[in-house]
Amino acid sequence: MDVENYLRKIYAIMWFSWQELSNWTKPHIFIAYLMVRPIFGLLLYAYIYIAFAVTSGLVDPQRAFYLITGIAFYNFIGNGIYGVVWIIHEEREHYNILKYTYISFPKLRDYLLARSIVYYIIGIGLSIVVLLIGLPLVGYNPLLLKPNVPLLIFIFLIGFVWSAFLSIVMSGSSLFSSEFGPLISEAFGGLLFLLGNVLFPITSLPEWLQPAAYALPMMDWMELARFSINPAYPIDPVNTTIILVIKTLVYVIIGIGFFALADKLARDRGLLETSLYH
Amino acid sequence: MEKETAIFTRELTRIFERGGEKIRALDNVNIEVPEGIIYGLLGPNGAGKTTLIRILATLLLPSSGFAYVGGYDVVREPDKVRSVINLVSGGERAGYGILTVKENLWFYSQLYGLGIREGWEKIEQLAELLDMKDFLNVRLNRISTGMAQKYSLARGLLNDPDILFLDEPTLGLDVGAARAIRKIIKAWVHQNQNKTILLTTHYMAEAEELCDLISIIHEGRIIATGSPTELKHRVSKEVIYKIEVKNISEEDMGGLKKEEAGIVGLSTSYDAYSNVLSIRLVMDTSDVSHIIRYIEKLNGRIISISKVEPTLEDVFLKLVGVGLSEY
Ligand SMILES: Nc1ncnc2c1ncn2[C@@H]1O[C@H](COP(=O)(O)OP(=O)(O)OP(=O)(O)O)[C@@H](O)[C@H]1O
Ligand SMILES: [Mg+2]
Repeated sequence: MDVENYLRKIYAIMWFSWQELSNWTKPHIFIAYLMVRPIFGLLLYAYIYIAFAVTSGLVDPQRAFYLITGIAFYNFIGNGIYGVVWIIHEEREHYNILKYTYISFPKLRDYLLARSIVYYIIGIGLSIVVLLIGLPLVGYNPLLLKPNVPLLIFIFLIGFVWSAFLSIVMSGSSLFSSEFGPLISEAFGGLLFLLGNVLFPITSLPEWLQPAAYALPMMDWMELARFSINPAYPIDPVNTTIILVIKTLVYVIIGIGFFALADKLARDRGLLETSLYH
Repeated sequence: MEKETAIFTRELTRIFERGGEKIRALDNVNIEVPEGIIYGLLGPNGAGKTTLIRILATLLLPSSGFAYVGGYDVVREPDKVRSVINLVSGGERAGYGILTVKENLWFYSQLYGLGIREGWEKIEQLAELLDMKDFLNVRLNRISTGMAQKYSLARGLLNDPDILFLDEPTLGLDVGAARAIRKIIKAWVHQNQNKTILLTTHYMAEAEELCDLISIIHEGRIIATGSPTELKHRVSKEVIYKIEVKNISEEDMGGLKKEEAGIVGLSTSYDAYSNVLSIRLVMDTSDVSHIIRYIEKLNGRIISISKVEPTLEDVFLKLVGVGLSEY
């Protein structure tokens, strides 16, 4: 297939996603709506940190950096995942278009990936805003950051890849039950938050939980994200990158395989349309 | 497979399981649809019409048997099938409600790979054909049912499909809107060469008016296939009566011994407003005395008795024994 044609399709799908996301209200309300959750999340954790610092007298810039970057970058992954998993449900149950999408675009999987792009782009915006508000809040000067732009771009790209394919697995499950997909997305969202080096290093987790953390690409991704804006952050970037790339590949393969299976089963059971029978 | 066959199925069967019970929605269906015609699937609710369309449109897998659309296997080559088909279901409003009709259509034109300008031009062209210019810029959730059906049809024509599936295209429309849709369907097939439509309906008159060939489907099985004239020929030896009576219920008529009276098929419809029961009879004799006596014995009052020309309804009555509308 020629590239230009394909890109035009992706563009139209992104346009549709954007319309669906933003078209129901005025732009300023939409922006407020987007910002509310991340900002309140930030304020909550920042408050806990400050209260702790004040009562204990311990001020730790490293700790502050860790906390705020974790919360900020999590927005990128979280926003992406939550965006993708609702698509099947909405298109099937609310707009009745899933069957038409299914027969008009070569692969439902690729359609979902394209639909998710807008959520990830918004996720980048949220990450940056939370970072720029959050760091001064905990007394860390954002001017001290030294962003490595190519690395940062790589971070967002590879973060998109692994988490979008993880979402594809959840979307595949949501074909079978409209509640199930969003439910496991909540579970996974929570899991990534807990086991992803977001608020605290995974080494502080109970030992029996650590293997689960190692199985997810989130922990490496988050560490590398921190490194990408602060070269003094103490990790081994090469090693971390290699592990992250390998884990990402594994998740891509799982996503492709799982979705192909889910697609076939859904077609076998006739689950692509809203019907009275399920 | 020859090139001129648009749709072809062999022993196509689909079984659903519901609550441990097996439902044969399609039972060894064999159809062959030549290119360039309107082919109708006529049958009552639950006959399996939608199931057949879903399989042919690659939305559902068969349990056994084969189906080819445009020469491609629906199970093994779904992508190729999708490149030559489109699907329109009646009575729905598929799209994102707060986008306009035009925007929704544009989105699909792009999924189908039309250029950006090409997409807008195609929409203009379809708006002309379907007479929908005055609501192109209205939000989808604001348009009437008739408009929504035109919108659906426009979406179905965006990719210039060789084979178009129409599932109950006039469902829920008023007489005028239904007529408009039928006119467009006919024009599309007759003005374009080699375009094929497979449509389902449970309206006899619609099938008769639109279709070049019709298959009557009942409980998952094709029970007759032919042109409307050929099908009606199946009741050419029978006599069709229409009797109107008062003071008799539909249940009363159920007590009639059909064989003794020479009845092949019988359907009734009751009009509560005039309190009149219309009885349609397909008879293998022209003698209705047995029936008249039966009605009089129940104190029914006969208003009229007339011999009428056979319709597809009578074919169904003969083949199944009861009327299509009685489902
Ligand atoms: N997903 C499903 N699960 C279980 N049974 C189903 C399913 N889909 C269809 N059926 C059953 O298959 C049979 C055929 O249904 P189908 O929808 O094909 O009929 P139809 O001819 O289109 O009827 P209608 O005129 O009501 O649209 C029915 O008995 C229906 O209950
Ligand atoms: Mg149906």
